[in-house]
Amino acid sequence: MKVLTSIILSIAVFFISLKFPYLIPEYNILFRPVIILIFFLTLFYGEIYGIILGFFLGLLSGVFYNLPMGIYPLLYVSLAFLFSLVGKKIYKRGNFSIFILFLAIFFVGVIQIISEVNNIAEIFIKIFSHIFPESLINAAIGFLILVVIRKLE
Amino acid sequence: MKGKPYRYFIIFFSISLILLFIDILTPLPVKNYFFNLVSYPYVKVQEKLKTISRLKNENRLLRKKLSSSHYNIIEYKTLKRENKRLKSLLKFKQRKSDSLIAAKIIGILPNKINVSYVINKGKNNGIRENQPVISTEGVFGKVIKIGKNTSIVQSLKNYNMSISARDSRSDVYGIVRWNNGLIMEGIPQFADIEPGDTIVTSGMGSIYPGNLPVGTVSSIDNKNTHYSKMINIDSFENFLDPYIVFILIQ
Repeated sequence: MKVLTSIILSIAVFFISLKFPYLIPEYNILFRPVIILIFFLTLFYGEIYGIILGFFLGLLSGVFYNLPMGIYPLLYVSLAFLFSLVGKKIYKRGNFSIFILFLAIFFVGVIQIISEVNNIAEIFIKIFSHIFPESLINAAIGFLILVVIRKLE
Repeated sequence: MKGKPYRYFIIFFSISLILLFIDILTPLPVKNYFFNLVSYPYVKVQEKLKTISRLKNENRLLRKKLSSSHYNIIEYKTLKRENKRLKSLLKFKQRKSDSLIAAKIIGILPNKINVSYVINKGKNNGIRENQPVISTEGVFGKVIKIGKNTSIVQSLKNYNMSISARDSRSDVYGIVRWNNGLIMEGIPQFADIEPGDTIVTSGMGSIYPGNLPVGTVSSIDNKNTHYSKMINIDSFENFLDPYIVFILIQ
């Protein structure tokens, strides 16, 4: 059941990320449902689910965004492992585990900015004008999902 | 899924690294094939959704146009009917003398058997009880009640109504009344009367003047057991949608 749910959720979330790439298009604030999904799969289903589905979602992302095939799998597998280490073992599904989600999105955003922009000053500006609010909003969405899951449990 | 997470992490991390290096060194030809395979359902679904959305919009627009056209058609039909009526009224007015008061039917007093109409003319307009009412087609009825500005007209299609009439060809007299259809009775068995003959008022009663058209003979009920013939009449006035009637001032 867990396997089936994870696969269905992954496919659905991946297509949502393709259909709605932006949360606020005017400010280039991206929606990161894949990272949020990997976070919750790792937290609630276990790190193995997070790692495997992170790998396949990364492969799909690489194919769809036409990037070298290993980049996203590497990123998502690492994130799943990070979530399992910090989010599950230290904060134990508490509210503070959302902070890890925030850090992960921030980290991914920073990597993307570094790969796209060469000017250091511009990188810093982008980090504060785009990446920080983006991480905050996505983490807030993650927090809402966490509240809903807790209510359902 | 059971097993040590570290092992999974190392395996998938290594595969990702290998894929990354291979793809950087020699771009994988399988990538495009994989993309086409994976994106096919997505692209198809998106196309379908776009088509559905386009069709919905188109449908909405067409419905809007249709309802507007429908409204136009109704308006056109109403105007056409009114035009026809007004034309016939104009002709009628020119033909008849000025001893007519035109009145508009403003209401129907429905009754299971007898139907009466309310007209917009009353005592103030010179209307009196028992005045004959005609339409552009023929005899319509008579005024049975008057108010200051409105009156009630009892139509021919009423069981309490009867008028003296005659066959315009053979001068055979009878009484016309409503009995599940307009009939003429009180006609001798051997009277000369045929289907298609025109029935007009006889002028013998105190209400209707002579020669007002009533209808045509549609069939003759010739039962030997009866002392008189009974004739079915097709009324000139069909009473389906009366609009304007005329009160005859004598």
